[in-house]
Amino acid sequence: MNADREANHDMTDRDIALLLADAADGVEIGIAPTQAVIRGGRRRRARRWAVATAAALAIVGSTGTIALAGLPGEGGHRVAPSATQPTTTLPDAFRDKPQRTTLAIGTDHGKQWEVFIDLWGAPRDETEAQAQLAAMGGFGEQPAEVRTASGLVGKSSYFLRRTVGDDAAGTIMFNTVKKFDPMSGTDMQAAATPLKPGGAGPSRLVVGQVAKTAQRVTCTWKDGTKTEVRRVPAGYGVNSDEQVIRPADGSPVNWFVCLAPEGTAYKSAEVTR
Amino acid sequence: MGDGKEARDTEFQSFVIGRWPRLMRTAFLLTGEQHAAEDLVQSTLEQVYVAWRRVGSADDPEAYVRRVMINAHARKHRRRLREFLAPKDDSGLVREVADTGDRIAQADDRGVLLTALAQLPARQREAVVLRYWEDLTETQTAEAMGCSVGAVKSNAAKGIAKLRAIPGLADMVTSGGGK
Repeated sequence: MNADREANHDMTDRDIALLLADAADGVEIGIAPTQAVIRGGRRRRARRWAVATAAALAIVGSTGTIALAGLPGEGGHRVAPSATQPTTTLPDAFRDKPQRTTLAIGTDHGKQWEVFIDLWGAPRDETEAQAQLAAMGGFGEQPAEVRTASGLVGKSSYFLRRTVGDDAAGTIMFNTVKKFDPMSGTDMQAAATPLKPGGAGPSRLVVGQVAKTAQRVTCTWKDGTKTEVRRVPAGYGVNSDEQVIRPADGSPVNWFVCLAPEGTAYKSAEVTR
Repeated sequence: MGDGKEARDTEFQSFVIGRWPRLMRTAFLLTGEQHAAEDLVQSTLEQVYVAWRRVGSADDPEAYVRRVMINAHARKHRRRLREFLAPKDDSGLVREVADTGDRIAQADDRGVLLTALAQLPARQREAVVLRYWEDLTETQTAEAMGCSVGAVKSNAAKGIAKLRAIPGLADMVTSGGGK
């Protein structure tokens, strides 16, 4: 025991590094499968395109514009950012990493799903924009309507995304704007999509943004049933039993999530209080 | 146009061939298993391919690749309490041709470390691997992990402390390590 203690004290950072190096040598390196990687990369690119065209997002917005899921920069279905009245900008922080807020979690067919939003602050110059663009890539996020880093300068971006099981996250809504469009009253911008990224099937997942003042959103499903979600304050726990309207860190609007029960799909959604 | 694409593919292939061994070793330490390591590296490089036009001309494509890999690893294991990688026996983990006593001993040593690593929470393991195997600075590690330097310090310190507390590892050091 004492001997072990003694040994533990003697194990330096360098020892750890040497042990790691030795353990790393235990892997079989093999030949780099370059062609398989390139094929896989092309498939990923194609899949993103497919999301753009097959997501069949039902837009129930009453104001402004949003960008829809697709591969940004490759001509997905989207509307140009609006230059309407400015309201709020994201804080200056979070230029090189997103401010992430989990909006909802749950389990469907035994697989955990999660909807979250990443908000990126506005880069102040091209250097910051380049760093942000590269960082976004690391997260699998590519900004709307922006083909070069300079297009990001002075603009905030958001990506509303979901994951199901171990699959890569799929983007549902995203935008890059100088100012968020103002929202008030019963304004809503939302999208309905299959739960699984890139998946076919009924549009069961409804996500979107509403005014900070909206207290309740009612999602109506094709079978006539409804799901009501209520507004909760910042910091309210995320749990799988309850979908809600909640603020997201750094966002001037609130966000909601509704999931249709198995066997039905989105029909309509509106702010009801 | 077509030539440009071809040139980019060629450049990407060179990048993959050059980085594959190092990425495999890092992925092996992160996942603890041969096939999981291959999957992680391949899926990382596929994502890099999609963004290659931008990444290839960036100052530090390595940083981008690390970020993608760590992000993929973190996402995959975010909700798991224990990971599948915990080795059940050495033979499944270490594909050594154990034809001499030394090799068997070496494989055992590796098994001890991989088991110890596997028992660390994913973020601690990432911090330890990036700091002590990749030899990144705390700032570079924070960039790769998408977290603060403070979080890196904390995760690395906790991870190292847990490794140090494992008698088997200490024995390896006192007996000359795995070499």
